[in-house]
Amino acid sequence: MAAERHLHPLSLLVALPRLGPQLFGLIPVIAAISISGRWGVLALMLAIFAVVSLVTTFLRWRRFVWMVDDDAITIRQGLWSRSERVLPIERIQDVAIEQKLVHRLLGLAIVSFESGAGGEGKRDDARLDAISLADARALREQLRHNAAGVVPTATGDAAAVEEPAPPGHILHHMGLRRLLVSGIFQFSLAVFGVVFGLLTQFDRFISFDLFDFDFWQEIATQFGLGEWVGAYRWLAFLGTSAVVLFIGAIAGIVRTILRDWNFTLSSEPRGLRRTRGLTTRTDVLIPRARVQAAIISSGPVRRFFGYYALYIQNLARDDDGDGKQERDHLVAPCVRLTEVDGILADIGLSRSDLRHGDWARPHRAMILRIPLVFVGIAVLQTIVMAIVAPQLLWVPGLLVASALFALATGWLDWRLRRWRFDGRTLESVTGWLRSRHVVLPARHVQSADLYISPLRRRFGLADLLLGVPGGKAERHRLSYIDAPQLRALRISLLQRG
Amino acid sequence: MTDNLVAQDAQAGPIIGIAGVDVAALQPVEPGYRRAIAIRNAMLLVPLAAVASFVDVVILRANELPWGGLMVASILLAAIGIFTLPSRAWHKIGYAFGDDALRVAHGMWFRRDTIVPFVRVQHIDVGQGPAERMCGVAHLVLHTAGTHNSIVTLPGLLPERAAEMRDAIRALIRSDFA
Repeated sequence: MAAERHLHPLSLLVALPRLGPQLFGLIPVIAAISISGRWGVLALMLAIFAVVSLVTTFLRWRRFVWMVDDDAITIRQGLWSRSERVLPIERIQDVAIEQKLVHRLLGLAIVSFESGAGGEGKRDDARLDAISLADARALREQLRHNAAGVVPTATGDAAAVEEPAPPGHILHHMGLRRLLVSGIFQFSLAVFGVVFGLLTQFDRFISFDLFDFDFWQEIATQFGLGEWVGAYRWLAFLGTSAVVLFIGAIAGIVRTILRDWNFTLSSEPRGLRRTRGLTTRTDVLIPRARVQAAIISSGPVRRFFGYYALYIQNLARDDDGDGKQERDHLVAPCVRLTEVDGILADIGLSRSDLRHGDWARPHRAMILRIPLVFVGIAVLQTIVMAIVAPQLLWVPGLLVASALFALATGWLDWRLRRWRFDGRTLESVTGWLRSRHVVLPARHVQSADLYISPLRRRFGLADLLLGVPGGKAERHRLSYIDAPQLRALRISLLQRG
Repeated sequence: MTDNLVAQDAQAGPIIGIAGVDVAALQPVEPGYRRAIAIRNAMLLVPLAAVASFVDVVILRANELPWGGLMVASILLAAIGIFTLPSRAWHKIGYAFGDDALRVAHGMWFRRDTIVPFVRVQHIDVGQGPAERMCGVAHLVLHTAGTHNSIVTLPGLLPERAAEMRDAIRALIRSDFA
């Protein structure tokens, strides 16, 4: 067993400036006391704050202990809440050494370890802030030895991107025609909203409001145009809508051309390589070993015309072209299902046809879940209204109407959901408006939850939630399935792993 | 649905395989954990009840509004949260520690039952919050690479037991790669 070690004593110096921000919390108090002019109280308070901060900083440093032995790094820390973290060396993906300006002046370094654990918004799995630079380098060397074969992979991918591109065979290429088709489907309601908003702004600019009823009425009465203008009001509305729709479509096409110009997906020994973009050209490699799942998705209109988008869930994140980070990599924005099959085959996946195959369905009770919530609230509201304001008893009626609407959408949602497991791959289909067909090999399942709510228990049902690296949380979920069946599925999924 | 602590297929020997974990009888966590939940609930509910009572007695009464109900309700809520709920919540927590996987189940109405195979564990925490320290219990946290549920927590263990489980999992991760 290795010796327990503390962080470098000089790291206390680095920690001190971090107390500054804590002082901001005191500003209102300081201001209040300053106004009352009791400077003695203020001085005393600042003194107490300084002493408490210094002592806790020191105690925190004292309690922070780290050690490295043959198979793991152990970090013990915490003043009020204590914790001891063990990172098995075999699991360490990356060791990073970082020096900020202060660290450089003092000869210190921050060492952070990445074990590839999931979780939202976390930076690294363990962090030594800070130890001496010499220690940091020695530690990294030691870990490289012990975790041989693991650490180099982390840098391997970056190297692969820099290599001169071997041609590889092309899996998918977007010609101009396909680009335009894709652009039309890109028509988004968000653009629609923005354009509409801009138009109303513009109207104010030209001193009348196209959408203002009074404006038109005024014209009608002033010029005595009567009924004719009344009809013209609708004509104007239709005309504006047509303009908005047209601009929306153009915006979608322009965006698509900028992002997906010369979109090429090719198959290389390491994985899939995607190049795209008109002004900003990007070149991304998705290593085969990192592919976790495939998602075939489509909107209501696009599905009708038989076009789908294919996403790959993997450990890295994608840039969607507008500077927004996407959790999955888009490898084909607008393809037919036969083209999807070709790409999937290249990464060792396959999908089942929705019309054939032994798809299983969720239980009908699923339709009730949202309507029941509405009805529950409506009942509560009725009771409250009856006591407090009987004249408002119609308000719960609105909720009942919402419940009926939710019943309809719930039925649509239920009707399209299905799943199947062939012993190797789990497939699930969800979404009545925007459909998603997820293909997930069992070997990527990290953990499995069964979830049972009162409604599910009533019908002997459960949900299965799977932990899979990368992608969005809660995606890999099978809802309202017979509980014993789901339990058996959980075991076979985890055993294939 | 066998989701209680009632033994379904009580096994005397070691729990082998993931299927073994699934059918094994769930073990209860340390009784001391009930007190830890009570302390945690008290830290939230007592100040809440105090504020509610203040609003009720001072503000509502001063404005000649009907008063008294809010105070009674908030105190009742705090009492339930401190004296009744902890033992019920405790009763519903169970775990099975197998040779290959850990199963943790909790929740009364909304029940969640998780299995984590040890080969999937990325790193392990053993920790103790202030309330837990007062009651002599600790928690074990398994981190996996999954985005959903990447952190699986088993509370209410004796600190020695938590460390023992941690070491067992750690040894297993090592042999997995050797």
